[in-house]
Amino acid sequence: MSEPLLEVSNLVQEFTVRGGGGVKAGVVHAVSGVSFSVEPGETLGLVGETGSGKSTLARAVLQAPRPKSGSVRFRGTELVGLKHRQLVRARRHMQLVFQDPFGSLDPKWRARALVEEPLVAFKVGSKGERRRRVDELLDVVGLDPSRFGNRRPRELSGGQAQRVAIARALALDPSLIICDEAVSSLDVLIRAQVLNLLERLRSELGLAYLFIAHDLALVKQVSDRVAVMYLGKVVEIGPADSLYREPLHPYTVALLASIPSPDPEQPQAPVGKAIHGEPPSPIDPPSGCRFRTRCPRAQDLCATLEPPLRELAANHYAACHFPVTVDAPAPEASAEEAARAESTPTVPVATPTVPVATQPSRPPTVRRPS
Amino acid sequence: MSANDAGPAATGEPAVVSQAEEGGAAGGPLLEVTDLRVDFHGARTVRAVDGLSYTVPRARTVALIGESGSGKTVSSRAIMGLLPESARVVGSIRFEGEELIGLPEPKMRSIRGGSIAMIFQDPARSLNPTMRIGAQITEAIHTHDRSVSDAAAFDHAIELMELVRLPAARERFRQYPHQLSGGMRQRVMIAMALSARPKLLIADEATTALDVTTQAQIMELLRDLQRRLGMAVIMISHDLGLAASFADDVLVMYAGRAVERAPTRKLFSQVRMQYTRALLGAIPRLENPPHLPLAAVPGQPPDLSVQQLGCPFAPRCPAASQKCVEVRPPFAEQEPEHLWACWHPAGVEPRS
Repeated sequence: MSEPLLEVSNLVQEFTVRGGGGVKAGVVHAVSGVSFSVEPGETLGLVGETGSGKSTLARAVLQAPRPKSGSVRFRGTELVGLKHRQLVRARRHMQLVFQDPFGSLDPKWRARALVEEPLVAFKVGSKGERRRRVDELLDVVGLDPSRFGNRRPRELSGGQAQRVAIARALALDPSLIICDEAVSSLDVLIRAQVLNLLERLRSELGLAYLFIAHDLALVKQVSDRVAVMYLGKVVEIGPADSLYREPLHPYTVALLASIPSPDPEQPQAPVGKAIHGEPPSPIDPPSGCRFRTRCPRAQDLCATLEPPLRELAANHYAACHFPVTVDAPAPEASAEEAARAESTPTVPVATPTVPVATQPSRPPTVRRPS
Repeated sequence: MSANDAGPAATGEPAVVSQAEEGGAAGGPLLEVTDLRVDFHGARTVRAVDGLSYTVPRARTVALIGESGSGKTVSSRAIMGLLPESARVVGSIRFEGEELIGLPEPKMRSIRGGSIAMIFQDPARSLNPTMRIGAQITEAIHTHDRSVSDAAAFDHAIELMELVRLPAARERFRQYPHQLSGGMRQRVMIAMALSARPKLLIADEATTALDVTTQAQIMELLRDLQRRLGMAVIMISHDLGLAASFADDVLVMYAGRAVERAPTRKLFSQVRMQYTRALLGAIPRLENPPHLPLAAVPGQPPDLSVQQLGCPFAPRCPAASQKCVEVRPPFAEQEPEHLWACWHPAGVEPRS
């Protein structure tokens, strides 16, 4: 494979928190040595809970603010340490779509002006060319320019405003769009429309996405590969299929087990499977593996030695001394599935329920570190 | 309308059965909402709730499911008497047989937070940031029973904090909300809501702001408490997965109306109303392979300031006919325990 579109290595972002009187109280280890890459046209999903560092990571990639250390190569250019003017130019092909379009779009501007602004900023085309390009962009995101072009954000619904934000991100022909919870605040039906739009743009324009969300099902829907973050570190990264079918890290297993399924025939999802406790503070992360304080599989080794990301299946990496594997699909799932397949509008379950380490009846296989 | 307390919950544990039966013996549903209409008067009149009828049996969990603007929150605030002055509420809300609409405020205040309690989406905003956790819980206890001594209130507060599994209750008692995580704050809100042993708990998107692992913990706690205390719960959510996992009955709302209701399993296995079907088709599922297109329906929810003659979902509905635009489909029990409002229900042969 040729050079990746985006290559992030050992990225570190830390913030100093000041206590009373400006005395240094501690350092928030928001992102601690994260590495990953995104190929052209690929979607990398990034999941994690509040405080896992996923948004900080996205901003560190964009150099806003600049990371503490590490490297971010985008289209062959190293962004870390680049002077402001060159950085602006290099970043042109990397755009960001935020969660709340009403917060990210200027309420006084009309849709056309909002979409045109990046073109003006980079002095692209003449006035007439820009106007045609703006209409084309609005059309691409499914907004009729003659109906919506002159509306201000508050005259649009949430879904329409997010479409304007996407049109704006597309204006400069980006090769990578970072979506930071870009559909999380939308209602179910509108969210489906916007997700389908993002998928269409990906195949039509060959876009790559770094798709950040807390909703695992949503991330699976759009991603080729998925990275799971916990407390500033990537704990697992791999192809979406394999990661959801055979999660290796106990945290991924716990996350998947916490999602309530919209299929009531399934065992009532989260009961008894919920992991206990809350994430520790990123100011004072646990030694060794950061998940060990909540991990049902933790042993003494986990406290002393930080597990590196290891390739445990094809292209599928996990940072765990005692990773979980699922060998065979649970037989009862497929039988049930066949029995109710015809009448059920819900899609049959291909993924068997993952044996969770807290269930003593079915101990998952342990792969010892080699 | 049927009271769905005939059979025990699909979740069936012996404790649940006995409570459900006990509740049923007391006669009538715990809460009965009939033809509820809520209008907001302003520059335009917005009908946020348009003829909503449903019942909540004792010790059951009913999920109100719908998108923004479906009226699920407004209708539940109407139950609590928490709507602003600009709202006009008509219809009937009977709680244990007593009409709540038009009830004098002092009477309403004893019910609100007493027999009916509510928890909200954002515990950080519902708690007073300048008051210690313990003081807020004991205040809730004293509000409903002034005769409780301070010592007894302290004991009760600790008991409640242990009930909601707040770790290190005695230490937390002296802490402020900002020292607690989101999940722990929601536990405090639940402790306060339970202080007067409510018969009905309204949980308005109570876990929406929480992370999935925390959400699972809180939902588990709520279900456990509901069973142990024999409470009925109205669970307001936009998340069908959450409803499928935790509710006994599901009521789907659209544009201020009830459009489908059934016991949870029945609803999800035999979806009738086209809107419910669209909702289920539009959620990404863990079981699906990546990049599978979602069954998206076009359009937006209707403008609630314009009166809807027919079915409000008709403009977006793949099965809509002229009749749907002109005549409002009745919300009625069309199969045992299964109510819907649709002229062209899925999986039902059209009647000639």
